[in-house]
Amino acid sequence: MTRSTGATCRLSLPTELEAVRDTVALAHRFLAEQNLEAQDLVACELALTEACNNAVAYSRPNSQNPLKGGHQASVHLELFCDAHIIEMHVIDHGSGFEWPDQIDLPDSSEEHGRGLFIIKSLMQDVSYLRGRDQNRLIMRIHRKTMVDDSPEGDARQSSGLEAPAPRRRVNNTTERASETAALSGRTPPPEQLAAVQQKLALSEHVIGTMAKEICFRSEELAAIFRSTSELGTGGDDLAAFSDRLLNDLLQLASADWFVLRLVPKQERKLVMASASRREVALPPVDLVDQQDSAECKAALSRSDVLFGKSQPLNPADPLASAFCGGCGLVKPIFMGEMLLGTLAVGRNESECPFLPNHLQVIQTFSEFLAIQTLNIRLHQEHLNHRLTSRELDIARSIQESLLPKRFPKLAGYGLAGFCINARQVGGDFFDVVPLSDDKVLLVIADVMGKGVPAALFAATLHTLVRTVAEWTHRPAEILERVNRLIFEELSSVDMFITAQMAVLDARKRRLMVANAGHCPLVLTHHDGHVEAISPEGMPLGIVAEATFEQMPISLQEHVSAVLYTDGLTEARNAHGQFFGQNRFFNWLQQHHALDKTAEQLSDALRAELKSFQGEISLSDDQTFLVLAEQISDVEAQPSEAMGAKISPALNTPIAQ
Amino acid sequence: MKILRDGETLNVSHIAQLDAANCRSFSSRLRELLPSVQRIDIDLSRTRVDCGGLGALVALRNCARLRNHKVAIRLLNPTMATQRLFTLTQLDRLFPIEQR
Repeated sequence: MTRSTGATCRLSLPTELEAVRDTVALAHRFLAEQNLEAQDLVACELALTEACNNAVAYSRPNSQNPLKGGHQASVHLELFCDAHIIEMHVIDHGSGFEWPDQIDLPDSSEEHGRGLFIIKSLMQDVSYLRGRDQNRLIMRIHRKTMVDDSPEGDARQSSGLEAPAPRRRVNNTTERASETAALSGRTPPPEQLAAVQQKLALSEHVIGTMAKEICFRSEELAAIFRSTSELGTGGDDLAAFSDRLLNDLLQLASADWFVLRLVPKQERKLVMASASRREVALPPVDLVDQQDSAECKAALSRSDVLFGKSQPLNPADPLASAFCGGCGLVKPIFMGEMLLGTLAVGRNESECPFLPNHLQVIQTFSEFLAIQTLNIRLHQEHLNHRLTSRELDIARSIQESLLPKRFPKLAGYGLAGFCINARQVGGDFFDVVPLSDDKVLLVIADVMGKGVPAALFAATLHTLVRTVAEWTHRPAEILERVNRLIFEELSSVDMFITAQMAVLDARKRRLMVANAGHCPLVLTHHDGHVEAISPEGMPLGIVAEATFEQMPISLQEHVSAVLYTDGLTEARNAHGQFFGQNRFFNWLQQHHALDKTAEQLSDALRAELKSFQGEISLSDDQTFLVLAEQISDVEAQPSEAMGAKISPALNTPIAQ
Repeated sequence: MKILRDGETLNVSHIAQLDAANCRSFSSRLRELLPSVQRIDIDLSRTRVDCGGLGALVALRNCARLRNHKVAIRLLNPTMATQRLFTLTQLDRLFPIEQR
């Protein structure tokens, strides 16, 4: 403790609440020696106690200080007293707190929260400077005692940086005398000089601290602005972004190195993405098997992991092999619940842990990294999605091209088809293959599943059927050969295809039907009677040497036939009801009319399905092929309009 | 700290500090005795009190009210500093203060 005419006292206390009372007692003794009025003395003691309690609370391990024990510095008191003012500074090195705009007295039943109110009420002037290395609470009381002939007359200026203290009553004579003395070049008395020097030193210290603070914050802001300008620009070079950002961070946090790791999509490991030293190449850290590593601990605990002299890294830790002997922390990078990676930042010296302001800037920068990482991932996903979408468009065009553009001209019969996919491409298809002038092969098939895999098999099947049909016109044999050719491919991916083949001989009015586990062919006779034809046969891809039954059907007059996939009978309405076979058969019965062409029947069935489904989106592909007798003068003319169209699942399925 | 029981009154005295450092132990000791007494007289003549100490007294009162104990807490002979603290925080309206 030092004393002088304008007396200063400096005290330190460890960050323990128990130490507050003794330190305040020492301060009290110093202040008492300055002949303070009893009221002022009590006010100073009470305010100082609260200020010290606060400072200790914010510097203590496991308090709100984010260092959590990694850093523990003393609290310092600086007291200055002259004839006019008592100024008390309480300085801590903790994380500090936000000084409230308004300090009200808490409700009387509250157990906490009166400290700042007490300080504010007892002191005439209070300032709180929350800084980079330290936080400083400055409290002032203007002494009531008037010392008109005080030798410290011109040492009354406050050292505070804040707004000037309320104007004090000062002795104008003394002030004028001092000014006159200064102008005349007379040397002031030594006590006066000493007091001025002491206050000046205190002010310089505060100004120096604040200047450093402003520099630090301005650098931090500049780095943040640089990074912000890159956010959301859609650039996808994360490595370049993180290098720039983290090199700025090294400067700001006075750190020596960093390692950024990211979690690749759908993986449970941390893979190195960037490091301050290019030669550092750390192996991936497995989030399941390497839970001892600091990075893994941070990722799994979702909290910072500090390391240093008192908490050294495990020798097996990958970080320890690259950066031994230092100190620092590993910060997990999360976006909501999603772990994106970890950021390790360190210093080469083991006894120089990060201060709260450094931790704050590391936190801010890791949040930037999280945003940019997610941005880049989303951008890449968007690009991939666009690419996939383009590829699907192409696939759809190819699949469309596989459907017959026009139907062959047949004496006395007309054909119409419809195919709609639940997705952009699907596994349903139909085909009409001309075999001779009077004969056509009608094909309908449904590859198990939907989407691209099903579409690939549908395309393969289409080609195979057309090729095999060159060799045989017997539908059962076509199915047997096709099954043998495609069996291995289907069974290797556990898929199968149901299909139906029917050879129509228009001249002989005969249909030869074979079925591979598919829905029956439905005949509607001239009297409205509906008949389901389903010869024996298992789906393609189940048994390599499968055989299929073949059923000849003699077509009477005014008979129509429908080949369809199960997407038709399994269509659902808003109540979850299936369209179902009964409804389908009833519909056929009711709509069978002697003069209806295949196209008219097809249009009516589509309209019925649309009306049944309403706004419900398709859950399965829907395909059907209609064969109907057609009187000779309206014989089906081959045209684009009569060809089939394939359409993605829309609520308004198709517009021909 | 000295705690004497006189019938249904608890006399607490010789408290050197009632501050942030010891407020928890103070209230937990007295809390245990709450159910068995009607009145607690706390002599603060030798006691250095701070905001933490005020909190401890409020906590004791809250605890009694919460458990429906009808306990009157009275403060005796506070020092000038303590008296000022109570006046400033208006807790003198919550606790009867007597100088003897």
